Amino acid sequence: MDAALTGIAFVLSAEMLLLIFLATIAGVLVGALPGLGSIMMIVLLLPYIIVMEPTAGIVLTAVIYCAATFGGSITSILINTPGTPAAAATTFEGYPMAQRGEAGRALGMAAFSSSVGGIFSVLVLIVAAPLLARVAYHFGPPEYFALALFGLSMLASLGNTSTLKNYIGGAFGILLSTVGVDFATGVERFTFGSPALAEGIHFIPLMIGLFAGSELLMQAAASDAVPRLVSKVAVRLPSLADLRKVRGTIARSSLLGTFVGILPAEGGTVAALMAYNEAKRWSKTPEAFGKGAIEGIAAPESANNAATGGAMVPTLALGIPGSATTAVILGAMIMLGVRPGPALFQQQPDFLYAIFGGMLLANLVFLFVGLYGAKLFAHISLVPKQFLWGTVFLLAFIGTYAINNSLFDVWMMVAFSVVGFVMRRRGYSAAPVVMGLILGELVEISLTQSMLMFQQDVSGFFTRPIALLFFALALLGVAYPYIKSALQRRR
Amino acid sequence: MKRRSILRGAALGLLVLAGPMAGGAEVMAQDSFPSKTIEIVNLSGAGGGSDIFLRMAALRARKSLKTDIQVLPKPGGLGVNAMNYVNGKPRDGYTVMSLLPGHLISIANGKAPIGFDELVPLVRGTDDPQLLMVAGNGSFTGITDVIAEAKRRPIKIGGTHVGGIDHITAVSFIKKVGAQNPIYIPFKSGSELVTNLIGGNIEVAVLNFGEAESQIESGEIQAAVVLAKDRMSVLPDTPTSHDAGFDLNISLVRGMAVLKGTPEDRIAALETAFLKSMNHSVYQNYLSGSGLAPSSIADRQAWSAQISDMYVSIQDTLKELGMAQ
Amino acid sequence: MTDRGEDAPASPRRLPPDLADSLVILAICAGGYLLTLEFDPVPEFMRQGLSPERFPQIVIGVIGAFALMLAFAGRAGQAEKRPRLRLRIATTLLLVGTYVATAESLGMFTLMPLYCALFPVLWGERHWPLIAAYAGLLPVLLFALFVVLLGTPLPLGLLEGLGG
Repeated sequence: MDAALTGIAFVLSAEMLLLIFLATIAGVLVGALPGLGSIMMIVLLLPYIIVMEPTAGIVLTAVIYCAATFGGSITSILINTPGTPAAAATTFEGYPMAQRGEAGRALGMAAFSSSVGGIFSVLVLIVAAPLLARVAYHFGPPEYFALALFGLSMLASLGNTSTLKNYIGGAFGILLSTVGVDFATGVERFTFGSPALAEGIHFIPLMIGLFAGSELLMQAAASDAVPRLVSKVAVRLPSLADLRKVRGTIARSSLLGTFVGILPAEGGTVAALMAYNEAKRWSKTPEAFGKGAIEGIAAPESANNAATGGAMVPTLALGIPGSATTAVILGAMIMLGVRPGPALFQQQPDFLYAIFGGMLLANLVFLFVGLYGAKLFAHISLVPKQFLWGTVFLLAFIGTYAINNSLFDVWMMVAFSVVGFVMRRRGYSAAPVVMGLILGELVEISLTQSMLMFQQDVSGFFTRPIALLFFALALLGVAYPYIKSALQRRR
Repeated sequence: MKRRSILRGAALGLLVLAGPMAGGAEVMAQDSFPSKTIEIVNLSGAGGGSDIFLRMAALRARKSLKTDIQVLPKPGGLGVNAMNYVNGKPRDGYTVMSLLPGHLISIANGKAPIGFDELVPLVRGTDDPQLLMVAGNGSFTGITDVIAEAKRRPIKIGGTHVGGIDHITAVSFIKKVGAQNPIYIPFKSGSELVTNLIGGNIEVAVLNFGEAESQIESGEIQAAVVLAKDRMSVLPDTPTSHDAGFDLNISLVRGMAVLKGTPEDRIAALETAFLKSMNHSVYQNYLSGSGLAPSSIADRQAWSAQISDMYVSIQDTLKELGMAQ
Repeated sequence: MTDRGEDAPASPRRLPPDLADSLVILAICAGGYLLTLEFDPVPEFMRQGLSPERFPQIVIGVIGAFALMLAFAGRAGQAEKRPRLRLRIATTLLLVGTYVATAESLGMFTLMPLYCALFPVLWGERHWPLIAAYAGLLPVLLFALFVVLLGTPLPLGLLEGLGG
C-alpha cells in the first residue's frame, strides 16, 4: 500500500503532471499522423529518454503508447486513413459517419471508448499482472497458428464488400506476406534481386497506400460539387443515448482487447478487428454496419486501447513484449537499467505504480483532449480537398520514409495507392489485404514452427486444446453467416 | 524518484534538444571533424539488442565529439541493406556501421556489396557469450543430459533466424558432441525463445544471458552451458563447454566499423570517443545489467584481430556445415 | 475501367459482372505460380519441413479457386460509388511520382513549395493568394516540426546539414 502511494504521488507531482499532459497531447497528434505512431515517436525520443530519470522515462513511453493508440482513430474517421494500424477497423464506420457530417459524434465516441478500454485494462494490469502474464507460456506456435486462422476467418464480415471479395483480398495480403526471405529456409521469394524487397513488404507503406493513397486518387476522381457539410452538425458530440447504446459493446470489447493484448506479439490491431467483428455479430442492427454504426467505432477503439494495458502485462511481469510498441518500451527499460520480471514486482512496486498511475492519467487526459479536440478536429472534415489531400500525401511520405529510412518504401506506398484505387473501383475493400499481410506472416511462421515441433505429424495439433478451441471458433466464424441465413429461412 | 532529478532530466532533455541546433552552428565555423551529424547504420530495427548497444555506446560520445549521433536502422538481408547504404556514402567518417557476426556471414556468402578487406573494425562493445538453456522444470537437469539425449534422437533446438549466429551455434554444438542432426526451430526474437522454452515447445534454446535473466533468477529457465573459455560471474554454477567436455566458444559480439578509405585521423577520433563513452559509468551499468564484464570493450587493434579470426572461422564453419550459399 | 470488351461474347446480356476481374486475377495467379518455380533450391542442411515455394503456391491456389467462384457468383458486391475516370487522376499521380523521384536527390523540402503550389491548382483551386500562403507556410511548418524538433530522418538532399 505504501508503494502504491509513493508511486501515485510521484506521478501527481507538478513536473510529472505537466510532462504527462504534454506527452499525451503529443502522442495523440503523432498517432493521428499516418505512418508515424507510438513506435516511431518513442524511438525518436530515445536519446532524451535515456538521460531521464528511469521512472519518468518509462512513464513517458507508456503515456505515448496509450495516447497514440487513441490518436490513430482521428485520421481513420476524418480521412479514411488509419493513423496507426490499430485504428484500421475504425475506418469502417468512422469515415462514413464523417462523410454524413457526423465527424464530431464519431470522434467523441472514439475518445470515450478508447478511454474506457484503456482504463479497464490498466485496472486489470494493476490487479492481476503476474498471474495473467503466465498465459503467455501456454501460447506456442500451434496456438498462434489457430489464432491467426481465427483472425482470418473474420475477414468475411469487414466493411460492406462481398465475403468472397474480402477473402480474395485477404488471400492476396497473405501472398504479399511471403515476399522476402523465407523465415524457415533463408530462400528469397519474389524479391527480384532487390535487397529492399528481401526484407519483405512492410505493412505501413501497404496500409497507407491502400487507404490514404487510394482515397487521394478517389478524391481526385470525384466531382468537385461536394455538398458543404454543416459545421454545426459536424462538430456535435455523441449523445447520452449513444453512450447508453454502446455500453455492452464497450464492455465486451474491453475484455477482448485486454486478453488479446496480453498475448505476446498480438496487439491492438488484431484486437480491434476481432472486437469489430464481435460487435457486428452481437448487434441488433447489423445491417447498419458499413454505413456508420456507432457501435462499430466503440468496439475497435475500446479494444485497441484495452490492448495497451494488456500488452504491458507480459512486458512488465515477464520481460516479454506484448506488442510491437511494448518491445521498444522494453528496450528503453533495459537502457534505463530497469529489469522487468517477477523481481520488479517484488523489489520496485513504487516504479510499477508510477507507470499504472501515468497510464490512467493518460487515458483520462486524452478523453478530455479528445472530446474537446473532437470539435476542433472535426473541422478538418471541412477543409477543402484540394489543400487537404496534398498535405495528407506529404504526411504519408514522411511517415512511410521514417520507418526504415527507405525511399523504396515510399515508392511502394505510391504503387499500392494505384492498386488500392483499382481495387476499390472493382468493389474490393482495403482492410482485408492489410489483415492478410499482418496475419499471413504469423500463419506461415507458426505453421512452419508447429510442423517442426510435431515433426511433420499434423495430428500433433490435437494435443493442443487451446489451439483446437481457436480452430473451432474459426470454423464457426466462417460458417456463421450461412448458418444464420439458413435459420432465418427456416422461420 | 526525486523531484529534482526529473527536472534535471527534463532540463537535460531540452538542452540536448537545443544543443545540436546551437552547437551545430558553432562547430560549422571550425570546419574540423566532426562538423555535422554522424550516422551509425544498423542491421536491425529499433529496440533490438544491437540498437540498444549502439545508442548506449553513442550516449557520451556525443559530448566528446560535440556533434549529434544518430542510429539509423537499415534492416534487410542480414546486414546487406545496411552495407549497401554505407557503401553508397562517402568514406569521410560521418557514416559508421555496426559490425556483428551477421555481417561477416553475409560477406562470407558473397551477398554483401563490400569485401572483407574493406572493413575497418573500430571498437567492440559487447562480448556476449552464447549459452544453451533448458527449461527449469523440464526433463534435462544439465548439459550432460542434453548431450546424452541428443545422441539418441534429434532434439528440438530453438534459436533466431536460419543461417544466423544462433543456427551456427546450434549446429556446431551438435557436430562437436557427435549428436544427431537436430530439429532447428527458428523464432523471431529472444523473448519468443524464452516463452517457448518454458512452454515446452522447444527443448534447448540458444540465448544470451540478458535475454533470460529474470527467468533464470526465478528458476523457470536453467542455463545449461556457456560457450566460452571462462564461467560467467553471474552464472557461477553453469559449466563452460570445456568443463562439459567439448570445445566450442561462440559469442555474440557487437561493435562498430567504418569502411577503408576513411582518413586515419578521423578513425582515431571516432575510436577514442567511443572508447571513452563506453568506459563511462552509464555504459558500464548497461554492461553489468546485461551480465557482461567490462572486458567486453575492445579497442581497434583487439577488435580487428578478433574480427579477422572470426571471419576465417565463419568461412570454415559455413563450408564444414554445408551452410555456404 | 472498361471491361475487356474483346473477350465478351456477341450477346453480353448475361455476362457475369466480375468476369473481367476473375480473368485478371487468374492471370496474376498464373504469373505468381511461375515465379515460385524460380525460387532458389534450399541448401541441404536447411531442408526440414515445408519447402519455401509450397506455402505461396497453396495461397495462389486458394486465390485461383476464389477467382473461379467469382466468375460464377454473379453479384458484383457493394462497390463504392464508382467515380468516373478523369484526367486529374493521372496528373495527380504524375505530380506525386515526380515529386517522390526528385526527393532522394534534391531533398524532400527543396521542391516541396512547388509541389504544394501545383497540387491545388491541379485540383481546380484558383485563389492565388491562398495557394501562395499554403505553398509558403506548409513546407516551413513540416520542416520545423519533423526535422528540427523531432529529428525525423528524412531525405534532405541539397538541404543536408540544416537544422542539425
